[in-house]
Amino acid sequence: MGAIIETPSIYGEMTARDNLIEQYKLVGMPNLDGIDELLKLVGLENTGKKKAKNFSLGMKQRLGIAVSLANHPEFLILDEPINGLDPQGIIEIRELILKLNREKRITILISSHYLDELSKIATHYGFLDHGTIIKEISSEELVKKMEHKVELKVRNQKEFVLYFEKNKISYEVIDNRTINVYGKYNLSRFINELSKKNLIVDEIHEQEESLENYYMNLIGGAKND
Amino acid sequence: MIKLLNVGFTRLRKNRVFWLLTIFSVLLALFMIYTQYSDMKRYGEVIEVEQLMLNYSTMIGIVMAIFTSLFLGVEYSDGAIRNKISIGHKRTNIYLSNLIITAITSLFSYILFLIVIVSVGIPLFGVITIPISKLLMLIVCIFITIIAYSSIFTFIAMIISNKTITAIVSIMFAFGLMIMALIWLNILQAPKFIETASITNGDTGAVEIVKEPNPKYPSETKKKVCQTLLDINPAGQMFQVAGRSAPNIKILPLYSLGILVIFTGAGLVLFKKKELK
Repeated sequence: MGAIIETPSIYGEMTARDNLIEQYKLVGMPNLDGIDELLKLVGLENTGKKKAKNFSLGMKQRLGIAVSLANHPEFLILDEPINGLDPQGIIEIRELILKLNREKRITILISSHYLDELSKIATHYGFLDHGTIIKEISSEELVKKMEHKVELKVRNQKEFVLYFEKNKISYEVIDNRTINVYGKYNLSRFINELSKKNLIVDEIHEQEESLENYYMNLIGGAKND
Repeated sequence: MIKLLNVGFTRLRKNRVFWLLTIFSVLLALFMIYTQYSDMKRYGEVIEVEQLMLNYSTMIGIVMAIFTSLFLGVEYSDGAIRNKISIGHKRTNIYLSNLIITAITSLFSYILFLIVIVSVGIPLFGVITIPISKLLMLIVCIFITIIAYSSIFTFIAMIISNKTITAIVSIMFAFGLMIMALIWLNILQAPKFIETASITNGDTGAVEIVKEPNPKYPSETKKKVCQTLLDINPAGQMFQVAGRSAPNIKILPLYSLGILVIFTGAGLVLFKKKELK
């Protein structure tokens, strides 16, 4: 297992290569084979004699990841890997993480508050609140939950359900007055169609869930439990 | 532990502070030789090479304070300690490996100084005049005191997470030890009588010096206390050895080993409990 906890553990007075040599010795690697490949993997193969203290934040983070890969782990923990990075740095880290996962088959656990960034790379999510996991969900399930939806407040819920079943419309019954309909619809046409079938809607709300909203709703739900 | 030592010595070789220390040791030796040679040529003084060999001991404490705080200070600031622990190295081993590295580096600095003094000084000033066994005993005392110093500054560096504060505390502590040692030395070297007046006989021209008991002359108890404190104080040991005036020279290494045990023991206990954020 490899890990970066808070900030990368690198000696500022040493070059990228020397930092890796240090780490190789620290973890007891039998030889220094693979250092050049590791530097190339994280995009630091051309840093030469430049000292780590003169690296950009993104470069330091990449070096930290390289250091954590010294013992060829199968599992990597990254704690807030993109904190303080500029947009380019964030992209570099994102691409590196994807590369490590796809090419090196490394499982990566990322702890981050940047939900939008996570949504671009994560395959499974665990949401924490005050140190407790309140929800675990796959990315497929999460995408579904964040799908565009229309919330309907209705009176004769059973008839609506029958109509949706008949017309193969994706829906979810929330309570005895609320039904969520998933998918993008032309609202006026949709309401028109429903009213032709004597299906009266009292209220209608269109929603597009973001990961942020999902998380806030989750936390709010957890607090109210 | 071997891995930690290996890593530490690898870092040492590439460390700018270590190379500055090395250059300083060589230049200091050459500077001392040069000044003594100038005095010899100008005033016809007899220079003892063995004395030159002992002179670095009076200031090595300050040098070690600076080196240790800068070298070990980055362990916290660069996250190295956190990295070592997360890999699986025990805190005890991390502490002891750092102590060993700083002790060996400091001894290396002094040995380098000796090599320069001996290789340049003997051809210029002549051979060593005191018995080799006595000189060796003095040098062994210096080496053991250096190890005691290492334990003190390693303690400070491993307990304080902030590199700047570590440097300030270490240097102040080193100076504090020196100042206390000088104070006690001063007390011990106070003369029993002081000259208060001199009377010249107008007829004969004879001069009579009037002496009175020195009010600052310490009592026997005070002398014993000061001497003991001086012997325990690493700076005090160095001053006595450099001046070749240590009445209890055989006990000095025991005091140094005591300092080593106390500071290392306390350091290990505190470091194990330390919150590493």
